[in-house]
Amino acid sequence: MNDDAAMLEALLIGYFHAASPSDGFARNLESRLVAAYSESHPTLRYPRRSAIRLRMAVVGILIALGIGLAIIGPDRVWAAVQQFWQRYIPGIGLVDETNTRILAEPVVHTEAGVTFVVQEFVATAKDTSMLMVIRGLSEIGVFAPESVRVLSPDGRRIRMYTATFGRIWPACGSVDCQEPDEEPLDYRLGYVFDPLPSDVHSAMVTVNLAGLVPGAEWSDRLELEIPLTRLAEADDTPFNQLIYSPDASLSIGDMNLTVTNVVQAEDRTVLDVTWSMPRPEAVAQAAGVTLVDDQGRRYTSLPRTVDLDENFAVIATESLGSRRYLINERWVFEALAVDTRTLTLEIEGMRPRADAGGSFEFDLPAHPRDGDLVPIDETLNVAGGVLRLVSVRFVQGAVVIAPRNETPTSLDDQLLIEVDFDVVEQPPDGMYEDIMLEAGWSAPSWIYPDPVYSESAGIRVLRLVYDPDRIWSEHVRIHFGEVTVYHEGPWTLSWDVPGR
Amino acid sequence: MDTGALDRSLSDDELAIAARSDRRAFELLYFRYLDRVYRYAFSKAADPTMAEELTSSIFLDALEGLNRYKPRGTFAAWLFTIARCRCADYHRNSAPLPLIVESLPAHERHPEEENDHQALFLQLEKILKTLPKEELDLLRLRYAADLSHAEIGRIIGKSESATKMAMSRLIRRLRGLWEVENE
Repeated sequence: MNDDAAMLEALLIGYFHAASPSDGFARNLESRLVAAYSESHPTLRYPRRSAIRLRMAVVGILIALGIGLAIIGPDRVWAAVQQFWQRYIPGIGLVDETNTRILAEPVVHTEAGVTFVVQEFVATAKDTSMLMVIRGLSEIGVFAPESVRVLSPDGRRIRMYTATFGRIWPACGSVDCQEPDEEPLDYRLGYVFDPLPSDVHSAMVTVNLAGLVPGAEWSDRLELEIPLTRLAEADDTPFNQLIYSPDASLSIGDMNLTVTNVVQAEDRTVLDVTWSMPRPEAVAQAAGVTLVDDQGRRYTSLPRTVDLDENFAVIATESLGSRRYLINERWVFEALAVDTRTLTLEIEGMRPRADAGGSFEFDLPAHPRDGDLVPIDETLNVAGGVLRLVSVRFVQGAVVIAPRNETPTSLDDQLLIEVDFDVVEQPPDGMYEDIMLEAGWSAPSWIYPDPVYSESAGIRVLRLVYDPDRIWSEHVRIHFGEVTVYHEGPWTLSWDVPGR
Repeated sequence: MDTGALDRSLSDDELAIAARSDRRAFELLYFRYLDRVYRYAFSKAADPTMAEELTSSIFLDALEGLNRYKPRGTFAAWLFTIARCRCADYHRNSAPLPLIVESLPAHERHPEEENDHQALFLQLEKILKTLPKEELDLLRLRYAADLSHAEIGRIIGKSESATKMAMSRLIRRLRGLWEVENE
């Protein structure tokens, strides 16, 4: 029998290795890649020269300031400095007004009850950023950040750097408002693309509608014309604002949070923060983020964006041999009072995820049916706490089928496997919240059974689809995937606001 | 190819990091993975021209996304996740399993062995065509892309042991089908 298996494997290898790329193709593709590489890395060739230029520019500005101070007086120099800072747009940074093009008014389009709004579109020499809001969705379905594209007028696709994604929930200052089943009001998508060519004064935004608009096919595409106006010609120029870097830090378990940048503008306050953590899986979102000023006034975070594309957002760094992962987030608050001298950031409701590890086995009933129960008595150490497995049950339930790039559908009355737990010991300073289960024989990754909430254990547990065609043994094993542990907090950090 | 003084023993992750600022590192990665990516694309398309197009798209996508790659020792899984997505778009509009054997370009065939091998391959192909596409993809990732169980697990969202178990059962089942076919 083993010889047969070896023969079959050898045959499979021979079959799948039968083709190989021709030398001509290999060379041709290499040339294309080299050209594409050079095109995408134009600025990396002269790092030293850039550094020298930067230093010269700084020295030049200092000399000019000194001369200006001596000749025209400190008041007028200070006015010039303020004008310089006014070119800072929150979320975008310093802009060159001379060739910055913006969308003067939002572009709105409604399709089958779903409204797409291009709220902001700013093209600078550095990059192109866009804020889009989608309204009227019950859920975002299979939306992928790549579904939105920006094209230049000649039809060339502008490369995307980052995509951020956030839900806008009904206004509420409490953690309790964000129940998992509550429907968000809007979805907010922030993008950064490559810069548009300097002579371009319009762009095209395309949105793949599959998964967003009911009944839309994968090929259905929305096209929005984006007219652009030069910033210098636009009416609403940036306002007076205060920008500083407090570099205030806070530790939550093995995660570290640093406030890197604060912009206090007339209409909003923006905090750029960086999370640092030992494992990228530990990505945690705070349920409540509040700013408190020295008068005790509280400012709740407006809907914030969370980077979806973790490959971009998570940056591995090495320091003294230990690897950390960095995630950048931006939090937006209402405008602060101008007399604010001290700020305190309060964070509550952290939900770090971790690998649970571990697995257990059970024997399958001959013909499993709704209501069948297999008792189990095993304890497992998970994320610092202890769980006791009580039973495996077969239940009828719904699954959502959402293959990539296709509209999701729902199927009722599927036979599902449900695992019951008791919590013997909660993790230190936290509580189990949900546990993902997986099995080698379970359904494809694009079939999602509804999770079930265990009242006794207070844990949401993913159910598994029972598919007799995929299970070839009566002895089956279930693996623990990720576990989410809820830590209530709060954690606080404070800093002084510099004078205006 | 100009790979200069780059150390060829560098790991995929080390090359992927270096490739962000050094073209030669990306070229090393390209040649390290060209055959595997092409074989995977060919197993999906069974057409040399289309396999070349898919391979080109996969590497261009990888180049574009290189800055987004997290170096966690999973470069192959990352690259073949791109490959799988690229090929899925093409495969959706094509036959479930085009015949690989008949699609091979002339230079890939070996006349002296052709009769024996081709007969076996055609017999195997007949069995493969009865498999669900997810299982067929497991075989492609394992035997065309030469990925480890851990790497396949990362791509399909399962643990290494679960992938190993699925693969071993799949091979067992294939063996059964092979025996039935040869009775």
